[in-house]
Amino acid sequence: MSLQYAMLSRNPWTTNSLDKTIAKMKSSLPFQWALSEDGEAADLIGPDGYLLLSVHRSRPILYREHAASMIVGPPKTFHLWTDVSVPAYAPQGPAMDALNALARACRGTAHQVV
Amino acid sequence: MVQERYWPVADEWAGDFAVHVAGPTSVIRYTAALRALFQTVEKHKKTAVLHSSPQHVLSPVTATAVELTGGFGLQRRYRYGKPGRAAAYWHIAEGPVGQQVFYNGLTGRMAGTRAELREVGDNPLHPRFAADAHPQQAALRFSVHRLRRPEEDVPMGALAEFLLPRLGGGAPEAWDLTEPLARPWNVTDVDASAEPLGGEPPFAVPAVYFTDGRGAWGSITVRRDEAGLIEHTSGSIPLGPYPQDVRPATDLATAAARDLAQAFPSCVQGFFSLRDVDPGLFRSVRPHVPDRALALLVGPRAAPDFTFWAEDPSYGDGRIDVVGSHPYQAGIVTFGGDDLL
Repeated sequence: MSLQYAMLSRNPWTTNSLDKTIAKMKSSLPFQWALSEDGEAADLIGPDGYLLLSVHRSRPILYREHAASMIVGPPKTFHLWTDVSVPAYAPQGPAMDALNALARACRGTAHQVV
Repeated sequence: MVQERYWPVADEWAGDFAVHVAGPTSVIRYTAALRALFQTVEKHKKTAVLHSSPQHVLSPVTATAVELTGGFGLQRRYRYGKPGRAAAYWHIAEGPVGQQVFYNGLTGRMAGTRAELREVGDNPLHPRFAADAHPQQAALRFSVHRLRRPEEDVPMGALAEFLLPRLGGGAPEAWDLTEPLARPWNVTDVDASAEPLGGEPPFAVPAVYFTDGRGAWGSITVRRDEAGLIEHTSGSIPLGPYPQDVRPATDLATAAARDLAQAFPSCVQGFFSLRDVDPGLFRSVRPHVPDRALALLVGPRAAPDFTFWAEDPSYGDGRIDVVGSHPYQAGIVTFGGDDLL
C-alpha cells in the first residue's frame, strides 16, 4: 500500500538537499538516500533496509489550477511539482518527518494527492 | 549519504506487483509513482495490480496508461507471438482488512479474495456498478494512426495540433509523461522527451499525454514496424450532456476525417466515436448507452478500391465518400444511427 504526496516548492531537490534532509531529521538512526540509475528518483532507506519514501523528479507547473485540484490544501504560491510516495508498511512518523524536512530544504510544502 | 540503488514503491505479492491507492477523494491520478510501477512491471514481465476503495475511479490518463500496459484483461503479445505476462488490473476492495473482497475495477464483478483474484463469469456485481449513478455526459473519442518514414528526426504531435481544434477543442497546450501535465506544448520537446513505456523492441511504445487545458486530453504513442514509424494519437473531447441527436457530432467527425485525408494523404487512418462517460473522465464504469461509431477514415494503404466499396447497396443507412484521387484515394465511412459498438 502506498500513499501519494506532492511536494510543491520553489527549488527542485538535489543531492545536496537530500543530504540536508537526513541531517535535519529528528531521528539519529542511519537513514540513507538511494538514487535511481537515471537520476529521476531517490528513495529514502531506513536503518532496517526498508523503503521509507520515494521522491520523483521535480517538474515545473503550467496549470496551477490543475495542480491545485490534485492536492489537499494547496498553498497560494508554488513553482515546482514533485511526486512523493510513501509505502504503507513504512513508519509514517519518520517518513513524514523526512518529507517535511525535504520540503523545507527546497522552500516548499508537502501535500497529500487526492 | 546518497547510495546508487533503486527500487520502486510496490509490494510484491503472489508474483505480481501491487500498489494500493489511498486518498480523500476518488480519482486515481497517473503520478510518477504509478508510472514507476508500470515500468517495473514491464521490465520484469509481471502483472500490475492497482487496489483502491469502491469510491475510486481512474483518471483519463491513468486509464490510458493501464490500457497501454496491457491492462483491463488484455494481454500484450511479445515477440514471436509468445504471450507476455505484462498486464495491469484495477481492483476495488471492500470490507475490513483481512476479510476484503475484491471487485474488478472495470466490470464491477466480484474477483475473489486477496488469496485468489480470479473473476469468474456471473459473479455478483458491486452495488456501485449496478447503480445508475452518474449524469449522462458525452465525449467525442478519436483514434488516428499515421505512418511516418523512419527518418533521423521525426517530430511527433502534429496530428494532435491538427485534430483538437477541428473536433471542437482548443490547441494542445500542455503535455507530460505523468499527471499533472506540466510542460508547455512544443512538438520538438514531445519528441525528445518521450520515453519507452516498456516491452522489447520493436514493441517498445513511447507514450506522452497532452491536454488543451479545457477538458480535452489525449495520448501519443509511437511504434516502429517494417514500414516505418506509426504515430498513434488518441483522446477525448468533452461534449457536455449526451446529445439526443448525434448528427452534429457525426458531421464534426466526418469533416475532421475529410480534413485529415487531405492534410496527410496516403498515410493516415482514423476512427471517431461517441462515448457515454462519467463527468471529466475517460470512461464510465456503467455506461447508459454503448459506444456509438461516428466516422471512419481508411487511407489508401488499407483499402485501395473505394469506388467498388462505395457503390455497394447493401451498406445500411451509412454513407461512404471517396476523397482524393489515385494513388492517394481515401474512403470516409459515415455511420448511420444504429451503428453501436
